[in-house]
Amino acid sequence: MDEVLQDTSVVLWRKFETFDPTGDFFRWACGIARLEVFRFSRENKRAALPLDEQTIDAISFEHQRLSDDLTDRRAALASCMDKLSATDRDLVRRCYAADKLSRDVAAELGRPVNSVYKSLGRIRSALQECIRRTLNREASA
Amino acid sequence: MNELQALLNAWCNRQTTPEEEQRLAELIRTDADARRAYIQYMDLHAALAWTTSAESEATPIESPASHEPLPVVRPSRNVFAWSAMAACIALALGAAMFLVFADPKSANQNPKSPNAVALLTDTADAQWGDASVQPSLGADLLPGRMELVGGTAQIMFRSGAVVDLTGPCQIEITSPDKLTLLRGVLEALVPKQAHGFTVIGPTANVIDLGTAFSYEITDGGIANVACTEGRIQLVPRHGSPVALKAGDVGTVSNPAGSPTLMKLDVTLGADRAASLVGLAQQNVTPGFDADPTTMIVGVSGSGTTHSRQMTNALFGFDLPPMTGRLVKAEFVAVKAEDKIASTTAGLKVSLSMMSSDDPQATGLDAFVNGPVDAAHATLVTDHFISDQTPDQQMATADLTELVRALYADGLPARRTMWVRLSPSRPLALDVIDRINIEPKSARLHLVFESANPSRKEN
Repeated sequence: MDEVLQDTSVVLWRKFETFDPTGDFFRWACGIARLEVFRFSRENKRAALPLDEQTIDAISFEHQRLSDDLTDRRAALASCMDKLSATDRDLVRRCYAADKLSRDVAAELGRPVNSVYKSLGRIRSALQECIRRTLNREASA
Repeated sequence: MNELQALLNAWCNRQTTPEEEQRLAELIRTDADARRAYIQYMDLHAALAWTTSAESEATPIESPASHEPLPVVRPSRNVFAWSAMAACIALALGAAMFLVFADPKSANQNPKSPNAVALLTDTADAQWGDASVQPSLGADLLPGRMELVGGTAQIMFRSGAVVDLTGPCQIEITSPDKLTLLRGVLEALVPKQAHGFTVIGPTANVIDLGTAFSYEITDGGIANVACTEGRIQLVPRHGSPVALKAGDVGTVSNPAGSPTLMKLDVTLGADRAASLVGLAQQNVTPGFDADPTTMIVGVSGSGTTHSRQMTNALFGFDLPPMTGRLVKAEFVAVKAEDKIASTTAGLKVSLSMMSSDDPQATGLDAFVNGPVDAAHATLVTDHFISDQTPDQQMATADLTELVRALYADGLPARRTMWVRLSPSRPLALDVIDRINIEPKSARLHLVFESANPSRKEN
């Protein structure tokens, strides 16, 4: 499955370089993603979670309902990134932005891949928590 | 970290086992809180990839930990980058991603174009006809004409339908579920939620029934429609709609530019042709499709086991009611051979290839058309007669005349015409590997000129 993902990501991210970063990325990305999912899930069942149609509808509904919330959360993310330790921020940047596989990132840092994965999970949880607090603070302010 | 968090983390890392994916899906299905957490987590995941890669494009990454500058990197082949993209996907996860489009609220996040009906999702060397309007990747597309001079472009409609254009190509976007193809070729991929997506052409429309298809308007105005998956409805300007299934190919033309003359050919895909074999063995003729100008099917032979016997196949056709002046009658055998079916589904081969010096075939997926060669087929009129005599044989060059004569004779309610392939001249076609062509189905095309020009503006 990783190969398929790799192949697809090549197609997908090739376009990234020509995309104007000031544009509405999410709409574009989701447009592409929607297509990729569609193509993908026909060939590769594990590209998508095994969700039934009703659940997908429920997710869609919830996603629409949350759209303002998600916008706020993305805004809060920026300040939360600043609150990360330099090491964590570096790891996020390396893993998310690098033109490399995560195992290469791990090798670069002299760490086992699993520990990189674990750190990423911890960082994402910390960011979630920070975002939650930021929004709570804003709500009570 | 609770179970849900752990699963979400593993999913974003692409570390999940199928069992874990099942479990995650189960949580999302049954628990509204889990659903919300999932959406938020995936959105974070996507946002991280986007903001981080946007930064890395703008400036070299300074590594505060090591004080060593890292090279500028681009978010290409990165599993994380991809899986962030998969956030959207994730949300969609099959979900047909919904919403970004389906949700009018989020569609209006970009207030520049509240009337956008589509989005430009991809381009490669695209040159647009109107130099003053060069849509950029991710641009909203409003209703209107677009001309692609060269390169390719991909448009996603709000309905979810995705259309790939190859220049030169001219289209007019009408609404979220409709577009007009004026010239050129497009391929459409239509997910389930966009059923009913319609491509309008000069001679025929295609209504999608959840599938993938391609549609080409040639310079001569001929419409070639191929259904590559699922099912579509081909609706000629004149005549009744025809359902096409995967592998089927439909061609609509109006010979001599006559607005009242419409010709529709349908070539059945290998699977469908094969499935009709049984019918013909009982000498039952499936008869007409709804359109009286076209007669589809009439399959003969003994199926997949003895394809060679089909060189002596007999094809029976019920003649349609006369709806105008008969212009042309044509007999075509259609190949459907299992071993190359995957690359040649819908391959249409005329019997004349045997004597053709310059086959137009350039590959296995080429379409080869031509009239029936008299050396390979004989026509047996009225009834099937086992010992055909010379005066019962007719060169197919005269097929039109023969059919006309049959009609002139006063056509009874039901009259069957038979075409038999010559046993002494098996069909062969020089295409790449000299694959023997064994026709499994055949069609009779009758082209009528309408006597009633009032349908012209239809």
